[in-house]
Amino acid sequence: MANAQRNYFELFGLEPNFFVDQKDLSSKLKRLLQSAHPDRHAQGGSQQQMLAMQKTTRLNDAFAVLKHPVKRAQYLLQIEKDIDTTKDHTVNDPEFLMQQLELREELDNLTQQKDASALMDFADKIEMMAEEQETALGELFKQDDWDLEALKVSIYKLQFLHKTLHDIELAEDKILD
Amino acid sequence: MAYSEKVIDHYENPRNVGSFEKDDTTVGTGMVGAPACGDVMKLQIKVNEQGVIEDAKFKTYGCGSAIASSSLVTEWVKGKTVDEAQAIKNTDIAEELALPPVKIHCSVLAEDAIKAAVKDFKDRSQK
Repeated sequence: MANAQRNYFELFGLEPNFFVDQKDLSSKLKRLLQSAHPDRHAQGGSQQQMLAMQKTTRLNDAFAVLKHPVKRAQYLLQIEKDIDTTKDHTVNDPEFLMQQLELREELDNLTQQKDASALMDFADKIEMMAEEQETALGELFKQDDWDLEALKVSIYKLQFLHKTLHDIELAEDKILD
Repeated sequence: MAYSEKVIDHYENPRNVGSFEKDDTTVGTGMVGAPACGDVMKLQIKVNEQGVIEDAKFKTYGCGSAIASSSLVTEWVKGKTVDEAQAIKNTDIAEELALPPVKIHCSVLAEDAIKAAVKDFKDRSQK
């Protein structure tokens, strides 16, 4: 099956690259999903339909990875350098972790105070930090010779910031309830 | 996934939550994190002149197992020498809390945290 060999980037007709035009990606997904829709293969018998369904699943998996900066970066390292950064491991970077701890404490306080507008300001701040981190990660991927250690560190930092963003969403839900 | 009773107990009644002054020379601070789940753990020990840990505190942002693992470690290390504390194994923590395989990493994180705290204490007390 040729499709199984093609990586997520190739499925969308893209070169493996950290920089992905998200608008273009979304419109390509729509088009590809339409052509792979099982209803279009209704005449082709159950095997054709099964293949169409598998293709749909794979397209959705690929889209989820290419859309998300952390998953995209991890996938890129996986296919290009055979490095798995998704596994659990411990990082030991006191300064950065202390900052993360303080951000979580701040989030806790804002949640307890039920201060929705302060929480929104806080969300803006973290989003800005995440954007800066994503830009820094992009710069590392632009280099001809990838600095693998720097890439790993940059990815895990972005992961922590995304975790905080996720926690902010949960806190917002709690306050609005 | 069901948590064991011991995990729930530590999660609902965490022992020794808090902080020591990290610049205090009798204090060692361990900061560790797990990017995959976003957990952040701070574990601190207060050591007397005989090298025995008199008190321990922690602050953990993470799942129930991570909180329980760090809470348990702060209980265990009190009264131990720093070298004894450094010998704590994640497998002992996981066994005590009956952690399921997917949560073993939380106990690894707690082991790494106490090791980092002891190292920090030793590094700074030598100065």
